[in-house]
Amino acid sequence: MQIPIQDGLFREDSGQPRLLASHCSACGETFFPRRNICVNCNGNHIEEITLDGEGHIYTYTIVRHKPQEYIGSVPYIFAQIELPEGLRINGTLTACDDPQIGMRVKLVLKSVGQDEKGNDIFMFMFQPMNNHESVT
Amino acid sequence: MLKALEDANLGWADIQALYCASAFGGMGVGQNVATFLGLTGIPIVNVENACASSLSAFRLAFQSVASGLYDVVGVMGVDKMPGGFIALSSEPWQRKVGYAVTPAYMALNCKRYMHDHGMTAEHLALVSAKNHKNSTRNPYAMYRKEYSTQEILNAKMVCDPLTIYMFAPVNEGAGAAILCSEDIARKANNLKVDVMAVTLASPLYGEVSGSYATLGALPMICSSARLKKPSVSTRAAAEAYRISGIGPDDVDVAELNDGSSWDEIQNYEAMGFCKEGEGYRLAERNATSIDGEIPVNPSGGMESKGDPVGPTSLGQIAEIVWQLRGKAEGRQINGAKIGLAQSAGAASSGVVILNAD
Repeated sequence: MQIPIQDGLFREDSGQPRLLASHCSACGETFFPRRNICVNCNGNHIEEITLDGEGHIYTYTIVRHKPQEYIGSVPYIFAQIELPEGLRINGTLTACDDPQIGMRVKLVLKSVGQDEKGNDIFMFMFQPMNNHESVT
Repeated sequence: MLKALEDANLGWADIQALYCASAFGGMGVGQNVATFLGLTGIPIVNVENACASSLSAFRLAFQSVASGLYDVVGVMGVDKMPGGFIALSSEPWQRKVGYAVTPAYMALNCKRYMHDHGMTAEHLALVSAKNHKNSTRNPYAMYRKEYSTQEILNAKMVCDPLTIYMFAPVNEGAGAAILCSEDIARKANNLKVDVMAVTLASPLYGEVSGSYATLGALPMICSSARLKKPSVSTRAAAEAYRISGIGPDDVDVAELNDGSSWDEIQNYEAMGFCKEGEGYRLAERNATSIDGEIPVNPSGGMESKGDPVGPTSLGQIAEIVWQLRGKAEGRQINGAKIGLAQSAGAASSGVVILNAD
């Protein structure tokens, strides 16, 4: 069985991964993960939306030493991804040898290990688009 | 605390209230420390705000004297840090997937700034080299060794582009300060330093990139690509300048948060020592060295003194006090009259402005 690392972060719609986000209809900001109160204007005009997760690398770093409780391998590429909905979210990059600011990326779901019952634990990550198209 | 009392020419029994800053000391740490000084029955309040804990405690002490509630108040910071990366409060899943790594967030902001403004890793190394050079004259520094920019650039990479010598190491330590009303200060010793302002700000949503609020080290893991609100440190400084009636040009010496070399550079900008996007130019032309136009971190900074978290801000404030009294032997900035200490922690930032008559 496949289980998400945390409920309420993402789902799959007909094989397409989606991030579960909130949009404030009062101030126009979009938030991930979901929240009930707008962290920008403090209102509660919140709609639940999903994000398809196609965006570009706003910035990135390479973490070289294993953090406590981290279940993956090092080094890993940690990035902020800018999405067209006007927000930047943190994410790790997968299948990426040469990260660049501006590089276009897409959302993917990857197994990051197994729980004690042998279930695969899934997490969302970002992967470069095939065409390596870039924005600044 | 005993050294601070001796410096103030006061006794522990004169202290009417105590604020104790600590992040790792456990519950009731201030009351525990008081058992070594004497149980005098005073109110003791423990304060935690990560690396800005003792600035926050200092601010509470200032307010309780300024309000007239007390005449003499103690501030203390104590901590023994565990090893490894510092991580702010986070959820278990964030730690499992490598999101709870404070230096990674510093590096993310730094990398983007380099892309936008043309700063290079050499600029970061210049800041570290300057601070480590200053530390050789500070008996309170954890590391008192000079490093060349080449040694700093070649050191172990932690999170690109930041090497291990560009970070404040975790350590342990303690600090103390006594705040009192003016008449008590005049009677107690002749080395009085005035508090002109103490401010503390927490994040706004949608701060400019590079500010602490974009540190997703908090459980909130997104930031806005649309909004450009002033950073938490910019707001803390602006408020301190407004209250004190001085401006950045009036500051003779500053101790700024240098959790990493990058933090020091962004804090040059937040304090108004230069324009936005030009912080690294100050490092380039040596403007923040002890004999520069605006000396920053003459103590050697957190990069040399370490970041013991609870006492960190008191270490900065103590250096400013010594500088303003002309007692910073070997690293004294001549004629320093107005000093500024800035702390950042828990995604917050605070500024203290001190003045010697």
